[in-house]
Amino acid sequence: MDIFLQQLINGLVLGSVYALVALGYTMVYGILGLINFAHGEVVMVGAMVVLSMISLLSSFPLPLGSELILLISVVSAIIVCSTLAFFMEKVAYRPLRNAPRLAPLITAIGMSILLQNIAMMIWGRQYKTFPDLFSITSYDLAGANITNVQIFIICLSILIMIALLLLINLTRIGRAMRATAENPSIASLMGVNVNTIISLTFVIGAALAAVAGVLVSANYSVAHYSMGFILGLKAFTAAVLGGIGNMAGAMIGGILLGLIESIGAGYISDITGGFMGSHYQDVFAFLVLIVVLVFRPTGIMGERIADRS
Amino acid sequence: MQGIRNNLVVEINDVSKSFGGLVALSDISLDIKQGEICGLIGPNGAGKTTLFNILTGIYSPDSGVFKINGQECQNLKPHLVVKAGLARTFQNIRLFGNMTGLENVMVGQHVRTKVGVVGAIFRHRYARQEERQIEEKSRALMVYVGLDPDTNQLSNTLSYGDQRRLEIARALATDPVVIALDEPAAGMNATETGELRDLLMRIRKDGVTILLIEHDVKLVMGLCDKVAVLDYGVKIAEGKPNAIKQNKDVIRAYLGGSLS
Amino acid sequence: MKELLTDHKISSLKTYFTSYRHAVWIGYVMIAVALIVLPFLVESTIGRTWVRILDFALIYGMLALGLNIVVGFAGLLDLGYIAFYAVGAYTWALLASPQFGLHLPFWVIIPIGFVVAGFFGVLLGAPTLRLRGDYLAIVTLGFGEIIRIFLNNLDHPVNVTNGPVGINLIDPISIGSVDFTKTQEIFGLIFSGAHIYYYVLLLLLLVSILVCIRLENSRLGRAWVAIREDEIAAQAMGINTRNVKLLAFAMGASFGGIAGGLFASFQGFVSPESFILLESIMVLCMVVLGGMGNVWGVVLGTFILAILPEVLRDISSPLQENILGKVWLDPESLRMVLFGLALIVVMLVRPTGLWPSKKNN
Repeated sequence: MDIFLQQLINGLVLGSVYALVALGYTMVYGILGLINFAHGEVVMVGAMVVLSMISLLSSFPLPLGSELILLISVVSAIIVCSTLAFFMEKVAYRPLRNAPRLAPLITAIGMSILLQNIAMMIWGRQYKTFPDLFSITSYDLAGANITNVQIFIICLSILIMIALLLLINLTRIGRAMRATAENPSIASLMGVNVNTIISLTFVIGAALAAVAGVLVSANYSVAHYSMGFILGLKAFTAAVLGGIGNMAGAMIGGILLGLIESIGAGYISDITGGFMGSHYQDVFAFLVLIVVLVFRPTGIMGERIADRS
Repeated sequence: MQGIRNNLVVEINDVSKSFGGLVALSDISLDIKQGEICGLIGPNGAGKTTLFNILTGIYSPDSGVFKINGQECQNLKPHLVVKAGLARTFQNIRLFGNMTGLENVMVGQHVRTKVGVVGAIFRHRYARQEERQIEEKSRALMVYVGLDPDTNQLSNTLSYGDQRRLEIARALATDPVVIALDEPAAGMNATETGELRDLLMRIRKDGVTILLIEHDVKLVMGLCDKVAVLDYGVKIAEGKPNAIKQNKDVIRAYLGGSLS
Repeated sequence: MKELLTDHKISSLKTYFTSYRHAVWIGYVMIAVALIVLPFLVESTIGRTWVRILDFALIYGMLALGLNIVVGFAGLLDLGYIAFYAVGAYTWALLASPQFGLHLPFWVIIPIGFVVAGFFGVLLGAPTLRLRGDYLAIVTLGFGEIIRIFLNNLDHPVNVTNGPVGINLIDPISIGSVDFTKTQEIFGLIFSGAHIYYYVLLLLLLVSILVCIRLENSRLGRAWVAIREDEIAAQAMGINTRNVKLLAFAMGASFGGIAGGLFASFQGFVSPESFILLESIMVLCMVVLGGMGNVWGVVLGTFILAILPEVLRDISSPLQENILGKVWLDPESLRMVLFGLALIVVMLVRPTGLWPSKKNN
């Protein structure tokens, strides 16, 4: 039972990070119909900026508490990532808004390659370790371990998701975003500045990605220039699993994928009688995805789009 | 022509369909004879397009049966309904936009031809012959509806009226027994509607039965051999155009609007 | 009009057309000669490695043409296409290497690879037929990863693929005792292994191009494009979209399978590392950047994207030395940065690709 609980906790932690990143994918997809392949790299840049800021601030003899150092670092990561995403949209995606569907996908792939390699030039090829700002304490929970960092990750992700749902559902901006997602040209006829809304979507998505980058590197204590790609891929999978374009779907899909992966990794060996080890964790995740999509072709929360003829 | 009764090419018996709690069609029955033009009219939301989508296999009915050319079709996929002999056009034109007009019509013959991968790659004699026949017939059909088969224009660059005509040519290319036209005159001016009327008469004369959804009452009344009227998913009247014009239920359904 | 066409004019038209036809034939002959001479020219000017790079470009050409059937013709976005390449490569590797002690000849393996990869294409296609656009993309991506993970881990409990180490000493194509990867001397000309493979691969690429063009201009090709353009209308025209889509998957996969087999036999070695997601993405870039749906555009895109990174590799160090005085930036990263930039710039300047199909605007 304690193994199950342990995998459940690990899954929740992983899942909340996936959910934060998946939100960025799903918001952009909902409005532009674009798979923003470079979104994972934004997560990586967020993690890298935080790491650099922390070591920079710690190296000065300033009377800053570790909480303040972390806060300043995270805020700078958010600013850097949002700016990056803002310009990325402007340069690589906006000119292609009326181009064939796959053209912006290719520029997104180009962006991803570009960012990854620029990051490698700046931060090097080595794994960077997350500095020990706080001491990690471990709590016992009915036979399973949970650390203060993990508790922090889960709580912060939940808070951010609630805030985002409120923003989307209750504010004027949120309404404009939903209208744009529904139909950009009609939204613009109704006086919504579609360009601003799209920029804003990228900026919000990037801010979430920056936070996710911090959380994931704090959880595993490392960051690497190539960490964004796989993470982004998983998050995109989560977004599709939940029903792409749907915010609640991205959250559910993220948590679910995290749980599937970690529980799958824990039990796959038992299920297959030792034939498949934990190496097959990803196989398990993708198989679940395929099965879900076969039965619900538009994801768990996706709307059934009836074809009018 | 197995199992065709009394020259009936379309036999609809008690077809019903509801979406969630909304009853879109209840117990619709309708027979169409070979060579007839049958009009289907009714106010917006009466269920005309739903009936169309059921007949063409996009939806399956909750209950009821229908036969096309003597073959039961209520559980068939759209491509098999076409094979049975019913071809359609769409209310909001759905051409293959990035193909030329001729290619659109050539696609229409897919269901009556059979060359596959091997034939495509090796172009043996049968494949070449079939390909030549497809092209010749498609050219003839384009001329038949009044289009120039030699223009290399992509179909999404054609004028609105030409796109409508191209859709009809594409439907005719499937060698249908019945063609179902969903508001073919929508958005046309008087001249274009006149040309459409001539075309439909010619199609009927050449032996193809027509089921016509149309808002242009003048066109329907002038052209159809019989008219069925739907309102709120129920067939409220069926008969010759002149009788329909005087039918009280029909007049009420159209909010007292005059039908002449 | 008739009276305008005097005898004189007709005869001059005739000579015009015959000379035009001659010009076309002369053009073909010149291209053929150029393609035959190319490896010698390349080897003597920039070295034998470049002949190998040309060989890989030809293999990529077949891959990209196969993906073009799926993505370009039928409009099904496949992000896991490299899986079929992997299936083809491992089929060859297992049937012609010391791994199982099997050494089947190439004319047996090629059809087997074709069928096995096609089967995997159907296997992927069947459950995903109802999916649209990007849902399909992520499922195909997952499928590609699943295949790779299996290749990576099928060394236990039963050793099939040798795991991450890969399979070595794969037989090359050979006829009788003539081994195509060994240097041969024919009529006093020295043909290296890369040379001989160049001709084999060139021949197969030309056949692939022919097959693709014929498929495109057939009943089946029109059905694929119709599905890409409007699936509902395609059904309403009597196209069995399920079968036709499956056929696209199977055809595309078979191309990938053959390309994979040739890759394995040419390289003599396969490991799961050659079949990562980035490779799928690379092939997709070749198709889209070249001009999706247009066979010639796809070939062009392939050659640019297969050769550009190698050119950048060769010039990124000397370029820095000349301009900046010393090597400031890691040449490997600089090469990839420039590559990424090239993808972005080309798509911004030509959103429909470098050589788009006429039908894709």
